Amino acid sequence: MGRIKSKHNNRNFHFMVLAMGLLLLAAALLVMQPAPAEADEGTVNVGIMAPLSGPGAPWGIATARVLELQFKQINDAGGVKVGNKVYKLKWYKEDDKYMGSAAAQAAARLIHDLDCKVIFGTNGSSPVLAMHPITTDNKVPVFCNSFADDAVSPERKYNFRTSMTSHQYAPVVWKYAKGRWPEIKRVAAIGQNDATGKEETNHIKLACEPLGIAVDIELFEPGQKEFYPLLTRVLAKKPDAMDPTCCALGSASLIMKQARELGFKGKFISSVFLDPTLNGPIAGFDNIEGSLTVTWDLANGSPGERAFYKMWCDNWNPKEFNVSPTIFYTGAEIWLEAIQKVGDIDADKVRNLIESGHMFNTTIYGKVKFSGKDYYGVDHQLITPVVISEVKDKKLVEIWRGK
Amino acid sequence: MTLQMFVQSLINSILSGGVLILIAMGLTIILGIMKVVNFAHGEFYMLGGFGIWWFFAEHGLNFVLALILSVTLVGILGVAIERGLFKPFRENAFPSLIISCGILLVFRAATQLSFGLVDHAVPTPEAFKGMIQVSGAFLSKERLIVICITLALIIGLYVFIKFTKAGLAMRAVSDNPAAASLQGMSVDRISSLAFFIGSVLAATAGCLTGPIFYVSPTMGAEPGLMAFVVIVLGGIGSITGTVIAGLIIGFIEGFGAIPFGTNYATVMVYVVLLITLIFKPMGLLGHAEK
Amino acid sequence: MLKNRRLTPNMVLLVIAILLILFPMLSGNKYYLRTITTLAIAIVLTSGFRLIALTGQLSIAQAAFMGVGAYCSTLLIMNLGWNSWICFFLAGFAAALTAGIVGFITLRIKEIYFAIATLALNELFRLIWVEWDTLFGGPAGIVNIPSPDPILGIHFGSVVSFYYIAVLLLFSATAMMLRIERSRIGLIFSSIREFDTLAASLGVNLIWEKVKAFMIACFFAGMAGALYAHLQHFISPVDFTLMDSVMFLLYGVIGGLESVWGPAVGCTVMIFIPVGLRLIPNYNPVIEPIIFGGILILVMRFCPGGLVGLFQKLVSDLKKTESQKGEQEHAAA
Repeated sequence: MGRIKSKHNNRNFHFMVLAMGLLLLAAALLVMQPAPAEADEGTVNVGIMAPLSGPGAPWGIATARVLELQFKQINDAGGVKVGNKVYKLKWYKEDDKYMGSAAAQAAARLIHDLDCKVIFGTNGSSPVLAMHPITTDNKVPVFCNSFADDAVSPERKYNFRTSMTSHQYAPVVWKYAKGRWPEIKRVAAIGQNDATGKEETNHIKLACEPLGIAVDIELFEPGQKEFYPLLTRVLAKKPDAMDPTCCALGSASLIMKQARELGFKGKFISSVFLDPTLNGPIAGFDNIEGSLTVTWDLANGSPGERAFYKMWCDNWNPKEFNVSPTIFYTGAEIWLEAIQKVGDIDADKVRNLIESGHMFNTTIYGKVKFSGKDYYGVDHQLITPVVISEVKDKKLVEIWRGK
Repeated sequence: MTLQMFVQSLINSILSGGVLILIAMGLTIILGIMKVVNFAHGEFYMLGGFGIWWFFAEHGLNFVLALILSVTLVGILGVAIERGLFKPFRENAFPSLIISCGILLVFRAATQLSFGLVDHAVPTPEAFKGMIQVSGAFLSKERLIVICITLALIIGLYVFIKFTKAGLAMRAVSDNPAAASLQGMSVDRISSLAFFIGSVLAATAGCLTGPIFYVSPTMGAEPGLMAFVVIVLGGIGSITGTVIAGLIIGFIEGFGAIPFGTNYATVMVYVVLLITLIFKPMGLLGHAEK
Repeated sequence: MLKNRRLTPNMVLLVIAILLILFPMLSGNKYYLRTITTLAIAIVLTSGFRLIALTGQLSIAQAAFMGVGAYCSTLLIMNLGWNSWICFFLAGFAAALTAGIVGFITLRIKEIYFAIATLALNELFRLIWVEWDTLFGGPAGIVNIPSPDPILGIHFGSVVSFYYIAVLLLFSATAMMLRIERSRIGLIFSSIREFDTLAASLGVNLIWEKVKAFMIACFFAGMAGALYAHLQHFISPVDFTLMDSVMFLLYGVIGGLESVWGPAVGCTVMIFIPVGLRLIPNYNPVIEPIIFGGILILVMRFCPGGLVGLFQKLVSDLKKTESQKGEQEHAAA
């Protein structure tokens, strides 16, 4: 840091001031340009919001890829017929950086500037909650994936969740586990110390306690890699099973690897996500053998699931596949079906259709409908079949499928 | 606390401290000698990790060969950055800080775009597999080896700085660059050497921890931040201080986690840092600028 | 040549003020209104950062003080039902008070040590908000924050009203800081930065002056935080992280810390770059960090004085060549 004022600088002061003015003027002029995205006759603007940078990028980039392909295919096939008009889709992607403030700004752009009629996105609790005031005030439906209970509620009139959360998964998988291994008395639920992790671990607690299983909750800072201290603490309580709930692939894998290194012999039961092809290389295939999870193998699933997985593999690296695109792909399918069914892109009509319990036809899950009134107070939670799989020979094997 | 837990926590503390020390050591040299505030230090750690993944896991090179290759490349990159970007801003904290933030953003986003959609696993070399048991506590061989290498590097670096001519020149430049250059030392060359050593140490840490953890574009964020905490706690430019501070933080994380949980251990690290700075504003072993 | 183009800073400020006040009537685009609202908040924060930097201290905790203000006003409004305009000022006072306590302890620390200490402070605040979930809502944050209470029947729920509040805050904060800098206090601040021991020997109470700067900066940070909470209707610990604090530092240095205009220029340029990039058809936001980082590197590498510094240099070069030309013409005649 150097000097501030000299006579010389003072003389230039006027120029500086002038420059400031010009700069602001330029900004203002830039701003006053007409919005470039007034929807043409026969096109409808849709927004893709995803974490394209930052820690959520693996999900966001995959989601954006699939949705862009999906919309392109729809346009190539002639567009969507709504009422007696045929619309082409025009999509815009925005980066929420996995942050609330960025998501609100992104939503403002998609809605105020680009006039998007629907938003597909995003992952994470904070971004979804932060964009709610803008999306709800402007009556824009949001098809989101957030584990926060709050993301779906009566005041968030146009928020729909197209992913199931640990609130739906945990009771099913733990009931099954308790039936199969009645000796499980104590469980360690380990989650990230953020909104998602807190909700997940709490859901596990709610699911396990009625079954007579004690739950110890442990939270860690997102991005943490050294779990020896945490696991030393956890293992001192002698848990019979462990639920590494966190969605972050690397962290969950390291928890399982390091727990085995520290002599943990019990089962891993994941009420969120565990896939040996993705977790295995980091966690060690031997370490996760015999684990239970609600993830299932799309490559060997129903014809729709296989088709979806094949679409990914035809276009992108199979190693980069994750579940996030399936959620938003389904969301897009539901919205498109809804606007065709009601013959209007009006958000209230779409909402009424969804709340009426209409059975939507989706590629991945087959016939599905929205529910959740008893818990969230509003039927905005998509209910999809729960599948329990076991890791056998480095593969997911389906062992139980709910209705 | 049982004996087994105590021993386990002891091992955990030394492990977390060791890796931190390795990364922080490079940073203290860069900051101590060149007065360049390098926020991108964690990114060299990340690049080292990606190097070992690329050469060893993807292309099947021998682990040691891959380590040497990756570390050298990152070192050369470090020197190139020093020459091209940091050179005019030695002794000038603001521009170097902003430039390093820029480098951080670019590196992180570039790796994310090129390889970043999955967390990559680096397999453990066969020779390092397996566990050792010490009075009921567990220690994997790969971690033991990391500790040994860290120890060797710390001692080597200490000897280098204290007893070799180049090390003496480094200390001279660190104390007074103008006087050092009057004595015929090339400040440019010493600075490049310092940056090379600094980035090599960070990259080595990335390579060694690759198999233990995993490799991802954001892996440098947390260690890069903690490295600053370590060197400021220990006193900038002091190797002994860095080692002590690294161990302190390792012990807080190792032992603090047992009664309170890891999230509170992180709080304690920052509290300890603040309290130390209030009573010793130059860190534990730092000395005032002349 | 310069004489007949007399532009006083006050005049330009007036022009900018009129432009900003008229803007919502010229363009109804709520996205840009919102962007300028966030821009105003960023400028207030960055100017505060600069004020602290005037005393030679580098604070990487401004976002945390913004958070203190945001949480304070939100909790008072939502739990005790206080009037939001009173809370708006209380937020500023709470942040200033916190800054005073914290500053009194930590401002003895100097240089990079202080920077890292504030960095730790920012993390500490964030962790407190995360862990103390009964009061602060934990990592999930606080939802459904109401709009400010109406005054005389005027309701403050729309984007335009937030825009005007933000512009008002921006002007009062800037005017205040400008006044401080031009006054005796400003001279004392820079004397501390230039040579603290000399200043101390002349009877300047170093700590108290530094704390003063810190408190003034954080007062406005706290008010900006309260405004932010109303604007977003939602706050959570991730809104006030280390990364945000570093951002204010970046904006300030890119603009140039030497000049009062630096923060405003830096924030305007850096916030409008992503906005401008999006006018490119088929622009992919994925590459944004690379562009952003590249700009940081280039600006700093080639004009370490920031954008204002670059502009000053250009102007003085221009004048030099002009006066040289004049001299040559004079000589030729």
